[in-house]
Amino acid sequence: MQEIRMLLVDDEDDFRITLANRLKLRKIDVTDVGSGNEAIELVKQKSFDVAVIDVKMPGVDGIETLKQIKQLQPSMEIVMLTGHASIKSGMEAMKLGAYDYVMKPCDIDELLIKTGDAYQHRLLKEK
Amino acid sequence: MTKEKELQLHGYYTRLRTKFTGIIFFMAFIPLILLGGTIYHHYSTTVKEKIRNELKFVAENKKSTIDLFLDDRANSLNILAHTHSFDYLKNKEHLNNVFQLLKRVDSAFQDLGVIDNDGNQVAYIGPYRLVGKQYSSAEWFEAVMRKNLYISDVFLGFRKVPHFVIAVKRIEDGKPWILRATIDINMINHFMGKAILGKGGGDAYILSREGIYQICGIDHNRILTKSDFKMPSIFPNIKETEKHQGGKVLLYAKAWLKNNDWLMIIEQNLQDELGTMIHVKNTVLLIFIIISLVIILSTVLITRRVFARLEKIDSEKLELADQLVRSDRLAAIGKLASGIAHEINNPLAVIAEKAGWMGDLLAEEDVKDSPNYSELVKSTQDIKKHVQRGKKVISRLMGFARKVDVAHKKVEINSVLNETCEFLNKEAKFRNIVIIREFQDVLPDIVSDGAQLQQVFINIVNNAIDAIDKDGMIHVTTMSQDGGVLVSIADTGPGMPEEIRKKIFDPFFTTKAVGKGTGLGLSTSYGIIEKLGGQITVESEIDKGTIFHITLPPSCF
Repeated sequence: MQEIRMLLVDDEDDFRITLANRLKLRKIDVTDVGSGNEAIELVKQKSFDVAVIDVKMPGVDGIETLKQIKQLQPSMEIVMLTGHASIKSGMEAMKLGAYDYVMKPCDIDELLIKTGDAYQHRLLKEK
Repeated sequence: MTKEKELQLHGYYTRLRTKFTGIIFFMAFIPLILLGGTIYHHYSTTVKEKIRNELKFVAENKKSTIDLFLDDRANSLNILAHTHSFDYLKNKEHLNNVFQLLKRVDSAFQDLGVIDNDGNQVAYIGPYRLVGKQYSSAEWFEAVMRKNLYISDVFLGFRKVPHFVIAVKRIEDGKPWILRATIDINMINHFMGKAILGKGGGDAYILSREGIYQICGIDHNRILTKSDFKMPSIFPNIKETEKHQGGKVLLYAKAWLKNNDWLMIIEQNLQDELGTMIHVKNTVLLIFIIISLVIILSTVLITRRVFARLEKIDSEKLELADQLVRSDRLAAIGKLASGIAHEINNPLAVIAEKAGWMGDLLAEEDVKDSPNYSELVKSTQDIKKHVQRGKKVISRLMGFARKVDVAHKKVEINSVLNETCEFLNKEAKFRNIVIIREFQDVLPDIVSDGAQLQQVFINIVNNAIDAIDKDGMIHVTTMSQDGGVLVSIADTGPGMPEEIRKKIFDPFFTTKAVGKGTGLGLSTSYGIIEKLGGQITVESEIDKGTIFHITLPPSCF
């Protein structure tokens, strides 16, 4: 199976880097960036299967990033990371085209399942 | 509102009401008493004045009548003496003629005698044989010889009948002689009897200058006895005096008669004449009592009503203030809680990731041989577990703090409660707790959020089960109220003191052991009910139990 190409966007370095390491350990091709702007710039140059984006970020927030990415690469699946246990923001993101959302602090297995589903979904759409 | 505060308020109002009532009584009665007293005083003074005037009038009348009576008799005798000669009247037959004539005109004359210069009665007509009687040494004889006219005091005389004598002197050819008549006092008695005013109780009599009864008034035995009346000095016209004697007030009108020889006294007991006054007094008193009763009754009733209303308003105000303070405090706590939740959540996520990363690294072979390997694995797992716990707390805290969207659906409260009770019945039975449902059969359907209400009911019944611990009862009651529904959940638990009762809706306040309760159940319930437009209140009594009242409006919009 091909490695999933994942873009991880979160402003909290400790969280993002640790999570990226753990995902890499689980055979996922992770690229991590610390802001929405960086993510958008990167998406313009490179293609990803799945993006995991934190909703709450300074500057360009997760929802805005989601919108931009969806415009640049409509086929890319996006899983949102919602902080503060807010179902509402997750639902809002899904309305805007996100595949699913995961609540922080997240269980790595849950995240893997959801990103895996998103990847399968993308593959199905391509066929 | 606390019971203590309520009692305090009640005490305050009771004191204020008493003060108020007292002041009103005071203000109402003082003018009433003044008015009544003044009217009574004026009336009694007027009546007394009237009685006095009447008495004075009678006295004046009697004085002139009696003086006139005596003058008339004296004049009659004088005319007789001066129109008839001594020699003519000496004749018994002539004298009899004259006497009969006189008697026909004036019945007061009892006899008639002619006395010569030496005091011998030369002729006499009357019921006694007094012819030839010698009077030269009698007092009256000397007096009449000196003064031409003499009117004696009253005496019994030979006939034992009270009478008096009038004697006149005539000088005929230089020789004086005397015509003398005896006068019956009946006439004067008659006059004096009429002097007694009104209903009686008075007296009218005449005393000589020595204080001897001349006219006896009401007591016939007094005639010619000595009176203990203190004789006044001589005065003209009428003199009035007043004497207080053993609770009675005696009015006197006095006048000197007969050239100041006799003192006429008319006596009147004021009280006897004041009979009408007693009537007036009673009437005034009756009106006073009636008005007093009306004042007392209306004052008491009005103040009671006004104060009950005031007290109710105040107590409602306090309760409202209480509620406002509580909801304000809860809103502030909610804000704080959501702020904290946001801030805590991120580090929690980092901790979880780090622990996960450590777990991942521990799986690498080179660490597996470490003697503490199993301890390290357990620690990372524990960290994960407790991060999950923290996440749950924050999630529930957010549930309390955030503005949840509520569903608006028809809710049958009874069936929601039935589900709740079924759900918790197993746990209750296990602890020997009976859940008794007392539902009103027909409850109005309300528009609300059934699932959220379910959560509230479960919270409260769960708390009740925990409070009772073992052996007890939980009463779940429903009834319609103002178109909505009132749900009461009462337990037979140990109750709780005031300090705890005040805080039970605060987030994180719990009486349960650490780790057993988050302290968010009731605060969440409170938030839900508020959002649904209802109210949740609690009453608790130590050793008796606790009751939660949940009022739900017909609609939560």
